[in-house]
Amino acid sequence: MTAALPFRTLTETATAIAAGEVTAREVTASCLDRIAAIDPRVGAFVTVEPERALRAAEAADRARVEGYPIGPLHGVPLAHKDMFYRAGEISGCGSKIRTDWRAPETATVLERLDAAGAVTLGRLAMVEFAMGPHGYNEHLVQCRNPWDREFIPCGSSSGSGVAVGSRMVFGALGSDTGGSIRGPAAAAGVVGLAPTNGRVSRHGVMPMSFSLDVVGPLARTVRDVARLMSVIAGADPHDASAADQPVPEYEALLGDPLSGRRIGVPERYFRDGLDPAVARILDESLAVFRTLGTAVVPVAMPDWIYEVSDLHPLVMKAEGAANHFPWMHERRGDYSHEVGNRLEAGFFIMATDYIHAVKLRGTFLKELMDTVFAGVDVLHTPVMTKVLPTIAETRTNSGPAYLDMVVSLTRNTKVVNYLGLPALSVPCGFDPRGLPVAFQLIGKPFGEAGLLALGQHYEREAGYWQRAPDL
Amino acid sequence: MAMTSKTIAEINETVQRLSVTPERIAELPVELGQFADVIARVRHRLAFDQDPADLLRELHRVGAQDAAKER
Repeated sequence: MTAALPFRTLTETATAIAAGEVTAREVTASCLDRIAAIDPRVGAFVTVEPERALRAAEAADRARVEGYPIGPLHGVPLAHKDMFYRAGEISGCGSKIRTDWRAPETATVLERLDAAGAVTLGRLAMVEFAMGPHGYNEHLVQCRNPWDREFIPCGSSSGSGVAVGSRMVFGALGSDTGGSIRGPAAAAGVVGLAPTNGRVSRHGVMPMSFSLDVVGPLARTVRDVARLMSVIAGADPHDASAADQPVPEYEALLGDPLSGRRIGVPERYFRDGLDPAVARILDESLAVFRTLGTAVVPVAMPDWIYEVSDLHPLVMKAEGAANHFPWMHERRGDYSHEVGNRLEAGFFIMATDYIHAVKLRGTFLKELMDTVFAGVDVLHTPVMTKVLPTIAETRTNSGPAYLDMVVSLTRNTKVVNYLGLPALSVPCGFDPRGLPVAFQLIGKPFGEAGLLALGQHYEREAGYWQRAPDL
Repeated sequence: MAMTSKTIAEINETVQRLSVTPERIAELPVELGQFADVIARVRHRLAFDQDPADLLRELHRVGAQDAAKER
């Protein structure tokens, strides 16, 4: 029976623990057993902390028996990308530079998960300093796609997608600067949410590009993601960029009827160069939405969306270079060839060009709200326009071929970060090789509840969340 | 106007002082050229009174407006 426990969803597990049907210790032990069996093949974890996790699970069980309040994640095993700080503990950030670095403070999101009763199993693999969409890292064991280990897991939250997709944990946090939650979620066949810029605190989280970064959850179902969002979202006195907007009851709103909602399908940009296999699966998902009572309508995208595709990396690289300035001078040899190369471009961007790129963000967002979003509630696009590449196919790490690879993996996701909008990645089928395919729903600012409701209705109808990789 | 590898090498030598290989300096004009080109293409959309904080202002405006509709 215990071997089956990791295959439940996060919310099912939380309910079962709260009801005393299973103990947090049993669940935690079963996840640790699965990690011991599976992780050597997929490389999702940087560190597993079994003793500490079991102690936390036993404490959760005692608290329940003794009648203490039960949080929404009481006793539920999670693990997070290795860039969420915990005071006094190592946060390696996927790097050699921070291999032994101990954080001076705890991330607000971790404090909130702790307060909700979550049990942390360890730290998860990521691309070095979150700079790369393929998902591997020469400083770490090769992280692999759980559906076929020859394929990339996508990144930079590679371990988060793989750990959840492999049923080793029930949920994980990731960060997303240009697609680093949605890509790994899509590649692993799980759900990932990149929230509105400012919806979730970034305090105590490694910065990659401070104006583009967002923190969000990956989990097996939309309901699981809603549960995690209800815990981590909201204003934070430690993070001035965390918005003081009311946090909806995401889980309670999942059942909201879809009738009257309008889904826009962009006529260009997002489907440019779409692989026929991906196109077929995406179209099937739209057919499901039609049966659910939503209107699916084509929408014209503004010309400038193509410019945003180049403005995003300009902003990201300028901010990244500024963050890494001291280490790039003092410890250049400790960066991988690939990430060091990626950072170098940012040192030669003119300040006026960077400022122009950030000045236009508000203008473009307002125009998008006044035009495209005046007629639809969300946009439906592929997360990636191509089928997933193999690890071998993405091994080029410099030059035009490298830039092309990065662009092909991120072109549909990075424009969302530039505009600060929320986007939900939802699995919607499998390509002919058996690799997952996903769509993203892009919403209006702070429209996460609507995205989750649409995703939940789709997920229940389509049922892909029930399929697990054969590991 | 795109930067040439010669310009990049000179800026690096006098300002940034990174240990960048000559091969990488030879590659950088492609990427930096894309950035310079996109700024040139959007320059007509820039205005004196635009502010980087306009993004957050618009995010919060729409968020508050939609939250009010829900109530």
